[in-house]
Amino acid sequence: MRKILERQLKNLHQDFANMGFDVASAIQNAIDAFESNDKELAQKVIGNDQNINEQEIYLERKAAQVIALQQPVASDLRILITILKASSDLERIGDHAVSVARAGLRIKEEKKNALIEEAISDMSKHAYEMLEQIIHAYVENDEQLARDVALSDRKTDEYLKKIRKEAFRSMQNDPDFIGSGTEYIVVASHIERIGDYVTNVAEWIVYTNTGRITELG
Amino acid sequence: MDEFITTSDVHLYYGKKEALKGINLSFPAKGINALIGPSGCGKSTYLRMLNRMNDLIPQVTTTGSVKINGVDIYSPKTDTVDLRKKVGMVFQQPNPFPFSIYENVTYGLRIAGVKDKQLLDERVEHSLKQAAVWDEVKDDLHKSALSLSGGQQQRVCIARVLAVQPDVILLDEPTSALDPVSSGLIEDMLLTIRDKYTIIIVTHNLQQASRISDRTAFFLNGELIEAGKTKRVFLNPQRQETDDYISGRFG
Repeated sequence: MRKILERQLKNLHQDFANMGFDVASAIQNAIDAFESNDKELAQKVIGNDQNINEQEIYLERKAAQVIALQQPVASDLRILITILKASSDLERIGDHAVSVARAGLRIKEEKKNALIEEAISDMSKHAYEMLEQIIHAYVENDEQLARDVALSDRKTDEYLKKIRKEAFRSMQNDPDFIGSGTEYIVVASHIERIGDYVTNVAEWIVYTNTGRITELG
Repeated sequence: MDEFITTSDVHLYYGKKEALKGINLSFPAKGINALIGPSGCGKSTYLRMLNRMNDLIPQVTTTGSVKINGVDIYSPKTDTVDLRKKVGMVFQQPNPFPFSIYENVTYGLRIAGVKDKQLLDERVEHSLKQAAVWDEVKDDLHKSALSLSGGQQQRVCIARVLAVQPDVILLDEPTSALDPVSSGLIEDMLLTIRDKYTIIIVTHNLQQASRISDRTAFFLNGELIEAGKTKRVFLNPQRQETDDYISGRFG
């Protein structure tokens, strides 16, 4: 009688990982679009978000079904709770990728700041790697990796501080830069939130393994 | 959806007591259907309508129509032996005949006049394999079926039903007398044969109904309260009574 439950859990596991990969490529594309001012790519990220939202709804519906019909307990139940909670986190990461793509479209070419752009580029690479690693930790059920990823979220916070400081400084020097400076801060804030959501996912991976709800990072 | 079994306005009276109060319920060909409801709700009575087992109970009167594959099984032309070959039944208590395992499984075929030893051997192996008990009994086919454990006996009884190649298998609480491991084996086995037979199972075990069935029908006080896809019935029942029953608020 475990056969059905095992198969369904396996499918959900796979579907969750796939959603993670899709969200990761949304971030990657949003950053690429931001860096290269590629409007088409930015639009693609925005359009593709619907697909990510649908994946979350699908996972929620399926997980609810498995809970109702199979009455899982212990580690099986924890796996499902993790999928339910962490899929919302992934969905929010997707929303932030869209916001990054949108903000990128608003920054005017002549009002760019190379120093800030470089910092955002590094910051977003780091956030992307965090997400990639957390999906890996989920697939491999690697609690230690999840904890390490959560710990590395400090770096995104530091990037945000640095970008904000530099943006404020530039805006004070050049009032015409206020528009771009604000957008840079918005973009960096979105990336910082991505790091927070990745940390949430890490917390759910720890929960799957230990049954403990913890606050990481 | 093509309905394989259709019951319309089925009433059944034990003497003056109305046990089924006008049941309209259909089942498509193939798949697992669960009948649930508290004791005395009529679900077993309804199940027995489907192969006319109630005929054997004195003072029972029935009205309404029961059609299986388009044929009215309550027509005077119906041969109940033929009917029960097409619509096999497994009971709560394993009831192997006091013969060998082999003779148990071939019993129905022998009654039907099959004498070909090779065919009988093939059917025994195939049926016991389908019933997920072959590996446990293949070296002891000529031992008495009564020497087996309860769970094995029940699977041999299922093999006995499968051997005559029925269209429909009725199971009346087939696992309630068994331990959880044996119950699990029977549930797994039903899942492996769900594509080949129309299976209707009466169960008090709601988890069992939700785990394995494709469709669920909920009976209460001789009435059909609700029927539909199991995921719908267990996640989003339309009737308050169903919600209360499956949530354990009564029954």
